[in-house]
Amino acid sequence: MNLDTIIERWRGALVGLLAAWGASPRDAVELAQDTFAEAYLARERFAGAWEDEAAVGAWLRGIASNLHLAHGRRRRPGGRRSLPLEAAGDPAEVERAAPPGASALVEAVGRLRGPWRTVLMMRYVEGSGLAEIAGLLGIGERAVEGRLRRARASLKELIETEGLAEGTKDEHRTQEGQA
Amino acid sequence: MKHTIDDWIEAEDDALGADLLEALGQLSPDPEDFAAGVAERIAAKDASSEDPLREPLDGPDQGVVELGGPSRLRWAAGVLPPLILPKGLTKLGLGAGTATASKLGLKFVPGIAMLPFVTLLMLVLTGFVALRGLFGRGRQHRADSQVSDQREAQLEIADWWRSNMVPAGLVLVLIAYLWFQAPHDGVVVLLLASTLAFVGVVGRLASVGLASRRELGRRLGGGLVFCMAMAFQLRGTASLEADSAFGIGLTFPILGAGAAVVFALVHAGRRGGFLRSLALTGSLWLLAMAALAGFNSLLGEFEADTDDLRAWIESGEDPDLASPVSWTHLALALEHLEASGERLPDLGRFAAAAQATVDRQAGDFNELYALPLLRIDHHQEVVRDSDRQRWAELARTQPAWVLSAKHPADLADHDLVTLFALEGPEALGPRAAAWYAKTLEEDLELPAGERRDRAVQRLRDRGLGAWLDVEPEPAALQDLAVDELERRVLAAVAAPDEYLALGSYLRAAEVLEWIGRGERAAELAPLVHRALELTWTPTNDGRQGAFPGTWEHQDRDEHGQLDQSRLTFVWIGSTSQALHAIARWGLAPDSVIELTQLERYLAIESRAHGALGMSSYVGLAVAARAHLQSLPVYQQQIVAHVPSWFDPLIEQRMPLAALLLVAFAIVATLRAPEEAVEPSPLRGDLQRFLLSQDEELVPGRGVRWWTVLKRMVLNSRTKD
Repeated sequence: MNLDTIIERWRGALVGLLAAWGASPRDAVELAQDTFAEAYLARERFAGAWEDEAAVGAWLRGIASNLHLAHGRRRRPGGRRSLPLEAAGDPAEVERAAPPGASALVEAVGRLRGPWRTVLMMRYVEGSGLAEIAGLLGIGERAVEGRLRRARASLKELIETEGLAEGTKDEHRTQEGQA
Repeated sequence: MKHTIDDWIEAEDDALGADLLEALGQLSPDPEDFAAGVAERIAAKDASSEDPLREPLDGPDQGVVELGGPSRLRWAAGVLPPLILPKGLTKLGLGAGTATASKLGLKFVPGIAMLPFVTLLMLVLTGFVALRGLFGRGRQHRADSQVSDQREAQLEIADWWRSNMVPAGLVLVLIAYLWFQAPHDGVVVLLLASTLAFVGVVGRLASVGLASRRELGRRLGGGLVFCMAMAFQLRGTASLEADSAFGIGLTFPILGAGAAVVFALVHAGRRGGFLRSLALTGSLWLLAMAALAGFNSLLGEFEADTDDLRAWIESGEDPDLASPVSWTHLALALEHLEASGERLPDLGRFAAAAQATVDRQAGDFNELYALPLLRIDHHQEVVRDSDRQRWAELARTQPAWVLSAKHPADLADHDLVTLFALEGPEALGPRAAAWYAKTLEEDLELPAGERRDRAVQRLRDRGLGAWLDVEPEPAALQDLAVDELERRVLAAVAAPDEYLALGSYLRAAEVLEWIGRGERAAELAPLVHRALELTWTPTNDGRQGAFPGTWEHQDRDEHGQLDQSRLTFVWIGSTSQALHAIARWGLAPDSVIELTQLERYLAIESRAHGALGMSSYVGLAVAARAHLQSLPVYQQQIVAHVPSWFDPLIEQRMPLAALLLVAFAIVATLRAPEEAVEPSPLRGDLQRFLLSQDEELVPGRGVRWWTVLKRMVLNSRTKD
């Protein structure tokens, strides 16, 4: 097991978790990089098995949490940073054009309850596995599965209630038609 | 970059899933750039790493990291809710994650010992978070980190309750049982022991470096303040009662002083020395104590004595003194004072206040209240002649009001003694008795039941005027009438198990004395003793006892005992009667009545509120207590009771426990390092043991404490 493998496996879920905590897209990525670097540098103190998702997830989450808190303190003296997800930054920061309708969907995700939002972001940033999400959140895989179901149901309800998906679907259809 | 999912859950692979992957995928960094960024960071901090990304992570020294703390303490960490602990401690057990720690940090002996305290704390936290959630619902859709924190807290609390549902439920049942059923202050003792276990475990864990002194001190200081608040709330309970300016003994000041010292230790480094910090926190403590003393002087309680009673009566200012409903208690109190040999108060101002009340109420005055006032008048003149004559006239024309307090069917012969009060035993009383005797003489030929009915009827019909027609002197009584009166008085006394039977015996004794047959009152002793034993009701904490007036007290248990909190429902007048009965007839040789417990009850009832001052109820308790203390039988019991060395410990258990708790908190704070070590996952003996067991105990599968307990027992047996 080397760091490359660890990064490959945990990167998406960790970036999603940091974004769910309120970090901007750029900050989420940088904080995730810091987390892996710190984990590597402090690897002597990690006594769990690197194959053990629970141990590795908790280890990474602990480091990420400390870094995120420190990052918040640096940005705002006197307290943890409080930044709404939808106002976390311009998606262009990640130097990639957002797909049509994506911003509306991201906004809808941002309006979900914390646990639902967190699990969706961890899952769909890179399609991370249930085991990694469970490890980072310190809960069981079945709990993650349950949260995912409820998060998706809430999201669907929100989309249907407020018609957010219409624009998204129309844009998709238009794009597919052009293709 | 297009990502996909390998472990789809049911119905996830739909359009929404694809949309989400597409929309949120924009947050995904380029893998190569990302890895390069990580490598750069590592290189910046550790130049020795040549190829960190591909270097094997498992070094030769990987494996067990021991922090040196007793492994049993580590087990206890599992029961500690992450929310209330320093970060370092929550990461105890396996992994840095709190949930993992909860699953694998086991809840063994220290954990179980801590459960009551932690469970109650979690109840408070749950309520607090629930309230925040309720009132902060408007902000629910704001995706800021504050809301996220709240959600995290809710999840952690929910996780804790889920994983500790059974033991926490058992603890709550135990607390409920102790609260309502168990003797003594079981809940207080349980919580205290639990708090000590908590402080001990946390302090021990901190001493191995998992929490900084600042982190730990702030929490332990907060815990002491929490306990102080609990002590303040529970200040009325028997376990905290004590005689001091603070109303709760030394418990409150000790906890407060401990919190001040702990907070001073926390800030010692930052603010230029321990003494300087202590001066600050000590000042706050002094302010708190001054506020508490002020609070108690206004709203707190003080134990009144006979001097307070005399001063209160002599002042004549309290509206309670002028209220007719208080005069019964006052009359009884004066009789107790007189019986105990205490100086009686000057009733001049009281008389003026009472007369003003009579004048003010004029036509509305309920003449039944004249009876206790006339009894008070036996001690000192408080009734004007005009009032006495008016009430006598009323008595002549409307005798029914004298007896209206009782239903005629319940009227006993000796109830006529009540009428003594109308003009005192030297006047109307003898006349009433003489009239009664005359009635008896007239009706001697009638059967007893009919005679009684006729007597009652005649009283109602003819009025007291008839009484005044007969010879007022006792000497005029015919011997036959005296004999018959004596016989009927003795025959008509209440049975020991009747309500207020002791009052019946006392009145009967008064009649017998008046007709010159006082020696026959001694024959009532067995009945009196029986009634005393039947109605004696000690509390189940063994500290107090009173006489409710009836043996059928609804809350007595099978041992005839009563919860101390229910003793407030006992009428102090019945205890006053019992005291008069004890003074006259003494106690049975084999009596179980502990007069020290009765004294304790009267002492507690003698407490008056600082702002409200004395009342007639408190006054009666004060006088009854003085009377009790003057009784030889009480002095004998005091002499017979030799206190053991253990008694002061029991008496002062709460201050001592508070002292112990404070000492623990200070020592734990002192032992914690200035800086905490970085949290790291542990692989101690326990986890090795767990991993050696079957799959049920594999980390991440939700290890349950009882499962582990079972396994450990099985394992130890196997080894044997």
